[in-house]
Amino acid sequence: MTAVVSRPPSDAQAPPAAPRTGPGAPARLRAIPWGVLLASAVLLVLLLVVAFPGVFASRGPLDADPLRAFLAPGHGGLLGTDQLGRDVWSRVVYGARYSVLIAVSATALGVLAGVLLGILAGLGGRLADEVTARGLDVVAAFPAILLAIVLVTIVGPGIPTVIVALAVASVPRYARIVRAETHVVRRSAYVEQSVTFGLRRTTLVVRHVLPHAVVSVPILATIGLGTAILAASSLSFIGLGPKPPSPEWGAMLADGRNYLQNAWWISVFPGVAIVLVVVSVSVVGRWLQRRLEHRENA
Amino acid sequence: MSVATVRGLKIAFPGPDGPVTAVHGLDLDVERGTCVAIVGESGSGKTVTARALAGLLPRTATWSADTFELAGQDVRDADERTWRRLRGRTVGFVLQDALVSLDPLRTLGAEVGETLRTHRLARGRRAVADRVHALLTSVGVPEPEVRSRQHPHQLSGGLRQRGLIAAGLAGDPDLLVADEPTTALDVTVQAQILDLLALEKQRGATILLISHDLAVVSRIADRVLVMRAGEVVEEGATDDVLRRPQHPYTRELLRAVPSASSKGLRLVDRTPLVRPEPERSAVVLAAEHLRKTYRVHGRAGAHETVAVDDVSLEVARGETLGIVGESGSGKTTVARIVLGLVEPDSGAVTLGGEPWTGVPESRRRHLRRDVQLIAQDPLGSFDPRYTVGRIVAESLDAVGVRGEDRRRRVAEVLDQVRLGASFADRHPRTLSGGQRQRVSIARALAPHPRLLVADEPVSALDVSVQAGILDLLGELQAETGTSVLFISHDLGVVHHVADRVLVMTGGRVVEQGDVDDVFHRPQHVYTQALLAALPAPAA
Repeated sequence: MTAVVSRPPSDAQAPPAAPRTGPGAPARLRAIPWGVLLASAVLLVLLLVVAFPGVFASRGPLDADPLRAFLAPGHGGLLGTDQLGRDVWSRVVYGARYSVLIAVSATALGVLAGVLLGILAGLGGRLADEVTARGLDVVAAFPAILLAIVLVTIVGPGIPTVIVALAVASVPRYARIVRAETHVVRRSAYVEQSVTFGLRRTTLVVRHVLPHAVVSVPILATIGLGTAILAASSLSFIGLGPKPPSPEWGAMLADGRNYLQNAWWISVFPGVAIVLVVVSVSVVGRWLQRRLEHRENA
Repeated sequence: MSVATVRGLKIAFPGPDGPVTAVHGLDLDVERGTCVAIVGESGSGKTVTARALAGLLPRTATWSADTFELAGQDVRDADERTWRRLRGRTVGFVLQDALVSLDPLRTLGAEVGETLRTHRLARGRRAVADRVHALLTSVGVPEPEVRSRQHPHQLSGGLRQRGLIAAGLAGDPDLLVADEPTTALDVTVQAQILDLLALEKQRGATILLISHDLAVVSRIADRVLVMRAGEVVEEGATDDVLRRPQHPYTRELLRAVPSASSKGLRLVDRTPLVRPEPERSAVVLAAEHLRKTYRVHGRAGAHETVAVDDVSLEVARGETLGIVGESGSGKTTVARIVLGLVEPDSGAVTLGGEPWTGVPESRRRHLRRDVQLIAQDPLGSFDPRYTVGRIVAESLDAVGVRGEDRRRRVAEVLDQVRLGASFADRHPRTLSGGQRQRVSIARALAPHPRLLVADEPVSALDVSVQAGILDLLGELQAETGTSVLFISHDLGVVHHVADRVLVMTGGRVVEQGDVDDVFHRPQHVYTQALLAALPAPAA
């Protein structure tokens, strides 16, 4: 066995190079379970509805017409009309904006704060780490919705308050995982190796610690979106969110409660919308999570 | 009489493109009272063969044999129940890796007594305990009454391995299968375990020994089978195989073992490999009176352990300084101090005359390029997201080499380590162990360091791969004139590569000097003990 210069040595069995699959290859699409495809389709429709509600709705969400009150689905508009003669379908369509706006903003805020706190705790000294970790434990000890109710009660109802309240409640979820990952990565051999290259601490953190510490955050955030939509609707339902006549789904649900016996459609359709969206987000989120775990184990 | 007779054993595993044959047509005879060894590198099929003999093949494996007899019984169609009866009584199995093969929640006594209870070889608590104590005593575990009540984490590696052997012997099996029983153990402990196995053989035990280490095998085996890629390439009496190897592969294996006699030669083909004489007057790295202690929080409260105690060393330009020692000797802490990852409590290091310890990071950052690490586990030292090219480029980044210059230098060093620039786009996970270590060497070499710190760089590699890496290090050192601090527990490797050597134990340097002087005429008792423990391949 004489080594020939410039040819790679054939020492031991090299595992074969991973096969390359092109993006969007049909084989890949087929590997996605139909439930996930269905859920993705629901979310795609949701995004379109949020972007172009005018295309989907036949009337404005606030257009009242007392003469056309309490019309059943099919008789007056696709999903019927409510006690003021407003079109339920149009209200559900326009209401999507509220849910998505609140959920996305709250999650984005929560992720930002959570990642920052997690990194600082993970990299900081023992004291900073302990204080942050125990603080997160305290926040996490309260159910998210209870925490939000307390905050909204103190500050007063409204969309911004709901966003902040839900963001605060979701911080521990992201901060904890980022802190744990940071602890692992900062002690890893490759970070130590980078120290020996003479890289600055900030370069090292940005290049090697951060990308690994936040791997699972997008997936957690996806699942968190579902939770946030549900929580936002719950807050609106008990009157702590956007005020009527805003077509927020939770508020609509509460609004139609009194007419449930003779006009069930006023409450049921916003409820169906909430369920559809929350379930779809969860299905997609869990699927992404399983895929990530699978990739990490491989 | 033959305890195990195997003819035409075939083992296959399902693979992505149909079954992959791990063993094709193996014949094996183990005579009562002898020790037969199977030697081979990783992937040779030696471990699956051992597992087949204990009926422990994974469910996915398919196997067949013309003859497969254990103690005269045909076990080709044996079901799990039959195997359960055979295991422990007919075949005792000593698992690989003493450090993790014991249940951490059970005491050593419970583990050793398992076989006795399962096969009802002793009845009643008292009888089992007595038998366990007798077994532990026979394998050289001191104070068996105390030790049998302890959990694995309270026992040293050597004691755990003795416990595993005692467990394997508990049922007084016709055949004891020992799979790499001394891997991961220190040299002196390895010698004790080998002595123990030799003693058991004298007492009449029949042993099938699986090992990658020819030296280990030479110490106790009567017969040797050399395996490669699922086939036995050579078989014979141990002395014959080691002294007069017939098959080219066996010769290659023997040649690849580094030792005093391979010094100044390439291991792969034993052609001369000449390095320029080190320039003794040009000191690259000097460390004086290093001391480092760690606080350990134990049950008895916090106490201090001294990891490094008054260690001084000097590395001249172009010189290779070896540090040998067993685990816990402090050699890795010395490496970490030299790398600037740990500050010593007292003492000082200078690098090319400039202070290297005791100065703020900002003042020594520009010196970091001069000291580069080659770690034992290259994969762990790579950012998992990076390709080979980015991994190598990172050491240049800190030096300020960017863009086209950087790309060119990466290609250059990849060529230097005989991988070639085409490897830049590969991912380390798709490389073999030897190739990964080459990437790690390329990365260390890229910023033109004055000193390479190699911490056990070949310990995880097969002997023929190790030979390639050691040859490469020697050649690169001859080309670039860099100095090397070479840390290893393997005396043969250190003797092969080093000009001078430090022998460390308990955080102290007990002996140092020219490598030939130290290894041929050891002055300190510890060095003498280390060298005596070395299983010499019948040379």
